[in-house]
Amino acid sequence: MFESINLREESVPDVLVVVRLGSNTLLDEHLAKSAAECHARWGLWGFSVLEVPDGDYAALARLRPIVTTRRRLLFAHGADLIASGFPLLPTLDAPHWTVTLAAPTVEVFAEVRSHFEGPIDNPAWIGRPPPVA
Amino acid sequence: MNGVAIELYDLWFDPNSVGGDMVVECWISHGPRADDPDFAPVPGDWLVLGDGDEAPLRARVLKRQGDRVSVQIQLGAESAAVA
Repeated sequence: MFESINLREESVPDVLVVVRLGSNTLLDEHLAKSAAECHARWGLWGFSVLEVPDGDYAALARLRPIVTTRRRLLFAHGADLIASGFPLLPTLDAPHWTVTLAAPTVEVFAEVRSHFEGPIDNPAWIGRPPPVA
Repeated sequence: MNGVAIELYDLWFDPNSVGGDMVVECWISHGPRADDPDFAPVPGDWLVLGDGDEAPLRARVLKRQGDRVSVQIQLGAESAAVA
């Protein structure tokens, strides 16, 4: 039984930069897990990305504090993803988007991966927290 | 893609799916303890989450439905990262 997808009333802006936290996050193994979890939830293949509101990484970090814990990230342009056959859906609450995939195959993973740049240093990273004793 | 050492953790998580409330759903079957018959988290348990990329983080179990475990990640100084 799938959950209903509640899309935000939000069209894809002309300039939309989305990030995928982590530097290994687009490896086949990781994408396969993310796509499977997306499919189990909503019945479509895809994976999560986060919008950088107006290019403001501090704003992104306020909306998603987990961003401050990732040193590196990959980024893509929404228009490029859409033009290449990877529709973006405004799922959950902003700044969350889902990149939809035709199928969870290594070929599709490689194609979508080719539209992401990086990894780059995360401007919102606050440094590694102290280890637990 | 760099090769950060994968440290020991209980559940794999996708950091991109973590909500603003730091809650994320994880699948036991996607983590390193998928084949551990003794791994049976219940609400209130503290677990270690990893993404195979960065240092693992501590999280508390909120609910579990079979394979799926909802946890809330703690970023406080006393529990932020696991060495």
